[in-house]
Amino acid sequence: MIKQLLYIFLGITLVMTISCKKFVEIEPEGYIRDGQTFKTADDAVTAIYGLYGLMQPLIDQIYLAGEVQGDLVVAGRGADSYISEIAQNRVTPNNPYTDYTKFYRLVIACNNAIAGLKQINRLDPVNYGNDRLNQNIAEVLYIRAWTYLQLVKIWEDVPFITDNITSVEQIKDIAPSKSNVILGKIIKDAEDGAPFMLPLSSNSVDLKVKRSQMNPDASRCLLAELYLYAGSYVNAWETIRNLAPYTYSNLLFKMTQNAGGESGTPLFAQYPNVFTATNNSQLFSSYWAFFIDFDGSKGQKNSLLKWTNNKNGGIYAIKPSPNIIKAFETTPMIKMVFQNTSAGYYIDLTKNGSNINPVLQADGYPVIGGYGDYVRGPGVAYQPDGQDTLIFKFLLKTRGVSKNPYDNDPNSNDDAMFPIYRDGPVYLMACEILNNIGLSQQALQIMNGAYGSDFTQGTRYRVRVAPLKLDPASTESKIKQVDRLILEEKALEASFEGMRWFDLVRFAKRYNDPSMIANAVAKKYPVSQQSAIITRLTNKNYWSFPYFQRNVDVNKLLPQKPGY
Amino acid sequence: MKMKYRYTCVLAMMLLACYSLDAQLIKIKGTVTDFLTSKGISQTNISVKGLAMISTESSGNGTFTIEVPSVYSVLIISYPGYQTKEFPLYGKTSVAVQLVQEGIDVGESTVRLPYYSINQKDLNGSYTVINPGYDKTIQYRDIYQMLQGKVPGLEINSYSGVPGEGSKINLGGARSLYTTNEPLLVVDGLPVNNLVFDQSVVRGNIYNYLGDINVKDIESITVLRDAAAAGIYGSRAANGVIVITTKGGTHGKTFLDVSVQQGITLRQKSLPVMDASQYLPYLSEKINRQGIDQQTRNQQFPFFTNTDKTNSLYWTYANNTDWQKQVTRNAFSKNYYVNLRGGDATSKYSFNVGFDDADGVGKGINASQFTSRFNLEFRINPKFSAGTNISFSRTLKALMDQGYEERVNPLYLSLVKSPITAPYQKSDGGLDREFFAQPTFDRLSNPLAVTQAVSNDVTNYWLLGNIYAQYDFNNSLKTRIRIGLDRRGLQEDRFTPSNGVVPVNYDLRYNRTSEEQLINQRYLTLEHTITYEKQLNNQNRILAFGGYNFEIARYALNYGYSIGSPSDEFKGLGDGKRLVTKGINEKYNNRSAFANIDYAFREKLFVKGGIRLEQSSKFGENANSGLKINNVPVAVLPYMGLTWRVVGGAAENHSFVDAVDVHTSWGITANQDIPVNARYSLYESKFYTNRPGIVPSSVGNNSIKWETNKSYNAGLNMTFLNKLIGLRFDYFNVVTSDLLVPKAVDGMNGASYYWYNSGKIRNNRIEMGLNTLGHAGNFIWKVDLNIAKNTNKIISLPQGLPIIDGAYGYSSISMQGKPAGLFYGYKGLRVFSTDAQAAASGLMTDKGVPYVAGDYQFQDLKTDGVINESDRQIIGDPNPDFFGGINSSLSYKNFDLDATFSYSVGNEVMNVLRSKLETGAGYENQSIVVLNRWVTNGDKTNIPNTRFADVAGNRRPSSFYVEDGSYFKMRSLTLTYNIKKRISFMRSAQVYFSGYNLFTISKYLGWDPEVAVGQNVFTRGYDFGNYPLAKTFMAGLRIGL
Repeated sequence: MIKQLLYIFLGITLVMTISCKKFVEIEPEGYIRDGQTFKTADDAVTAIYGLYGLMQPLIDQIYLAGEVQGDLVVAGRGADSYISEIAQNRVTPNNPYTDYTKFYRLVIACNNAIAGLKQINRLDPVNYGNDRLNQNIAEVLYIRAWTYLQLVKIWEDVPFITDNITSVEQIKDIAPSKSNVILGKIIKDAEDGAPFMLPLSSNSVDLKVKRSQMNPDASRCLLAELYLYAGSYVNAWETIRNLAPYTYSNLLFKMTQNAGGESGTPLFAQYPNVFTATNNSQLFSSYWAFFIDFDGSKGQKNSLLKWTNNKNGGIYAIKPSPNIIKAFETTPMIKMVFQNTSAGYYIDLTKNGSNINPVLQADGYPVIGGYGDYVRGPGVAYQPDGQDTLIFKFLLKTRGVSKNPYDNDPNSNDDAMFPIYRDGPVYLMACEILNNIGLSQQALQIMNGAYGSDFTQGTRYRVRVAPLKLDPASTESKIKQVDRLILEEKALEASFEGMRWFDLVRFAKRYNDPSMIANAVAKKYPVSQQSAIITRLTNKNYWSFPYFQRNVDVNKLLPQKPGY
Repeated sequence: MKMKYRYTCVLAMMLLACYSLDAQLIKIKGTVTDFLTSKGISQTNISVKGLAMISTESSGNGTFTIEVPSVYSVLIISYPGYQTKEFPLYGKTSVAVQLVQEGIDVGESTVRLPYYSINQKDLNGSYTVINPGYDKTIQYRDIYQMLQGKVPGLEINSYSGVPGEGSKINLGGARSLYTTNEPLLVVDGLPVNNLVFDQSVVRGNIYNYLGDINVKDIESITVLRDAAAAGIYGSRAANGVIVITTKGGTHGKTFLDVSVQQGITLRQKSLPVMDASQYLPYLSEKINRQGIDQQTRNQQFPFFTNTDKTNSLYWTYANNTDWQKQVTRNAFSKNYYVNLRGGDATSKYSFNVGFDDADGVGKGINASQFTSRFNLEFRINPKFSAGTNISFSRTLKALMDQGYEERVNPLYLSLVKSPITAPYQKSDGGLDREFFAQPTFDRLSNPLAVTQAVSNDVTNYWLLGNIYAQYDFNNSLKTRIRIGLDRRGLQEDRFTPSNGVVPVNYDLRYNRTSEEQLINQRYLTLEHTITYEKQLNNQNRILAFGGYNFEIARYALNYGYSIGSPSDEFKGLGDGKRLVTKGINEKYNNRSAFANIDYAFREKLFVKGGIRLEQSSKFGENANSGLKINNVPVAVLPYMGLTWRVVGGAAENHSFVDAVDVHTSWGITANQDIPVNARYSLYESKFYTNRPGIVPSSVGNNSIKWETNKSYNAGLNMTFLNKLIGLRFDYFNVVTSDLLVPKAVDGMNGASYYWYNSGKIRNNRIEMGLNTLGHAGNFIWKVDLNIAKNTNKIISLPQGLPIIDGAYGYSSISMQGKPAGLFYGYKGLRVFSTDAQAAASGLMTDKGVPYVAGDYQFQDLKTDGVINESDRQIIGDPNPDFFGGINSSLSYKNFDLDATFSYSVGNEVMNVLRSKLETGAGYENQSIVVLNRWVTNGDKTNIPNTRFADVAGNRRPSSFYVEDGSYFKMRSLTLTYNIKKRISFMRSAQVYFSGYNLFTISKYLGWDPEVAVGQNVFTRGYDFGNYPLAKTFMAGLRIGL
């Protein structure tokens, strides 16, 4: 019996010690363990696609910070308390939209990817050589730079982290860096990566794919924007001028020379407002240098359609402010030669032939032919619907197709594409850059545009809106005056696209003039509340979001911003 | 260290083994008498424990002689209708044995536990044994009823009155914030995990598998309450253990029992809501406040102007429907049960089949359950035996949404659906047509259509079985191998139709939705044990066992959601447009080794010690543990117990005091219910449009480990007057440390939290129990009372930060120095009486809307003029101050009357349902208290105005809806008539009548203060308006052949 006992205990001992480790080490299902990825060239592709996947959830916050705080939007009847706070410029640190975690999830994923891509290059140099490594790293650097730019725009000073984090031991607390320091670093990253961005092919399918990823055009736009934020206007112009439609070798020269009489392809003739594109292929061909694409059927969603709609799942959380609707309705239009409608204006959207020539006054300024920017306004930027006014930009995927509850893809409720760099706003960015390097007149000219096949059409002329003029009585510098006009035009051209608040902040900072933002935003409030809002927004502390209180609570190096 | 221990153990075993086997047989004389009447009992079976070959029967006056191998043998005396008794000889050759009738608990019955059988009084530790008696289990309705009110410190709260849904069980307070607080269930030696499934696609429903065990199969339930008792189950024993032993067979005789029960459950009392005459003025006021124009008004609410009776529109709205009546019913239930047991000298078997079918009081709700169980034990040769316990159950349920869900929840809809509408479309004459009335101005589904057309079908299969083989080296030393399988499959199909039902978000594209959920769960265990049990001499008795086991667990969930099928007839997942599919696969492995020694000295001093060593694939490699084997961390979980029998013992007899035991125990148990992948840093798949990508999904904590419970227990048990009075007192101090919590990190790390072990909770519990037994002539009465007070306190949390969590828009908070899971919300002050008052407060809502007269005023904690989340505070405590139960029974001749009561004092309830019935946002019907609402400036009332869309947030979670949920309930009352007269073909028979939930005494304003929303600490005490427990009456007949 003792023998039997011994056998039993020997058995136990064997089982407990020898079979050991494997039994209590289990590969998770449905996930890949860190360390099991970044091994092959294919892993590089999926890792980079994943980064774009992490861009998608950022849109909601970018939109709330960039648009809803601004003067073009107010809270609708379906706004919850968090959206209301933002729309009413009284955001609190408990507001979950002030949490930057999702942005850093992308930053950390970029950091991990950079380390991982280098690892693939080490493990498999044959299939994944240095060229591919450099291209991919450049793409990741641009994605990270874009993410940090959003962080700086929304929160201003934020922690800057370039380390990868793959285990809890690497988790740390970091103090926020100054926004200009961050800008300097990401500009350096972007400059380093610029040579490795491969040009786009002309294949339209490829274009659709490439333009929803970081491509050379997008990277130029981004780098130019970074320079703009850093105040390096000459660098910014040198970057943006290489981008179509600025690719005339001596465009800068021509601009300074008064471009009249120049012959050649009309630069903006084929760049109608993207939101008026008549079909999908136009939409995707060349007007959007970079957009974030969504596929609701794969759970990729943003809240833009939901927030701006009032039925079919829409909650009508935000709506156009009365002042922007008034601006659209009162914009003076150019009278055309063959203007023959009772509405008092006529726009030929085919934009060919000479029958669209404007009627000019003796001084060359066009005759005003009625009021109302009806190309970019109702039906495109906004749409009245019963008692409500919907923000319409995300509610149509192609022009003229209203949302039909029976026809639509159920996923289309929350998978609107989001433009990052669209022709109109990029064009106005170029004007802003040009103006700030001192070429105000030229900036004004390319914004206003002109008729004919031999001149740019500008964002204004292409929709037949009368040109903006400087006020001869103004005592402000010409540059500041033109910047104000650019802001005025951008409200019409880029309304509700998630950038208004950022523009107001950038201009106000440039001139150290809080009234540029405070007075503008106050206009969306009832008169009784305007002075309170002006007082609040005169304080620069309120130009960026507070840090989310939970982050402040756990990071001793992250003090809450003053005023919150 | 572990190795060393193991060899010491081997040595000890070998030494002990030398004592075994005594060839000479000794003759023992004895008598068997009835405990109450002291009369001799004939034909009792007397055998020797561990030696099935030796047995005898007592003679007519109860005397017997038997030859045993040792004067320290243990006799087993059994007789139908009496509790089987294990009687240690303690060296005596002449003995007097008292047998106690079943159903009378004097604390001396034999309990079959997974590793050994023992006389209840010799259990060293804090145990509660429920040994209802073979015949009595048949009249129980479910396992909860058997436990209810009987175990000190055990809280049992029904999830709802839906049949088959089960109850929340808690033993010893909230010990964990994010892992399970359920006790471990052990059925016939097999641990059963993940008892509660609360992710049902049927909103507000929960599945507790415990309810799938047929209560009629149960021989005994033993609740292991302290570390000394539960410690052998190690990392699953943190919340105590409930050991269920099912009925086995018999040697020799064959018994067949058949029982039939029929019952009726009465619809619950209606909550008072407005009728048509009260609703119309209310609605009118609401519309006025909404400020819509006259034209829209006429269009949307034609009944205010259209009084032409020839118009069918008139009849559509000229109703006064009692919707609560429409969706409820008096529900019938039936239950059938057959039990066959028998055996011969070498084998015992028991075969049970049960069928239960119960309708819910809510129309459309039904649960039907088939259970079967086969237990077999057989001896192959004198040394080798084997056996199996296999149970299979199949449950089919038709359910309805309940609780927080509003769109297709018939009970909720029946309260808020406008009474002026009718269930069916009306003809011009006002007569019902066959079609359901469609949702109209109130945008609420037709409750009757919901009960008839929404389908929620749940099918569950559960196979729980084990086979074992045992080898007896000799009378004292045995080894056993057991293989167990717990295999569960749950399928849920849900369909919401278009007819009579509003679509999701009123979005027409979602007007037909199908959901399907499939769950497969598999636990495979292998366990090998060795047991040594011996009365060494008249001073020393020893019981030692040890072993090891392996556990392989797999879990798979698949879920699909589709919308827009072509018609209400197409209900399948494949009939609509696929929207969501997802799957979860989880697996983990465990292995453990354990050992336990119980030593008794002169039956006065009982010492126990044990240890369990556990490894799991869930534990991180760097987990901080005292022991590592092959670099794999091991949870070392020791325990010990000490009982001193101050009075009583082997050979003592006392007139007044029978026995006084003091016991104490200390031990470490653990909770290993941690996320299976928390230790790993993971990448997950993430598509960008249709481009496949991978992204980091979680940061792994390779130090993740079990939660540790250090528990200390001290207690006193006393019995007086020949065991007629028993008094128990227990004190527990349990400190849970290494709490599994999401540790918040700055989001700049790319994540907002990771799973982490930090923080401590302490539970102090005092329990008292009193049981009395009396008899006079033919009367036998018994009363058991128990009371428990649990004090829960969070000692520390990571970074000292409070944790706020919850569900469905309601939050509870856990913070240092306070009990876990307190209601967290707004403190209500009053209803603004005048606009001036509201303006003077200077307050506005978090949506920027200024308050007006008739709105609730909430405390502006942060004094910033805005009522927002910063103003939330603790507004209530769902933990009871004390709770307990009362059981009483009375027998007179052939009649038995049993009653069970339970009570809870000081628990607060957040009455969410009331908030919905008093501050309707749209055109819902409301409680009649809304008749006292604020109407004009100057009104002083505590019911707010009728502001449309609740713009002022009057319905937000506030102290206005926190109520005292103290209650005293009669759980059950059963009158039994035992037909004892022998009828030729019948052994015995019983007729019984039961009533359940006959009354509740409570000040609570809702249906039932006994609310339980899931197991989560952060959702306790919320009443979302589930189906309440309702009065049930049942009649039953049992015939034994």
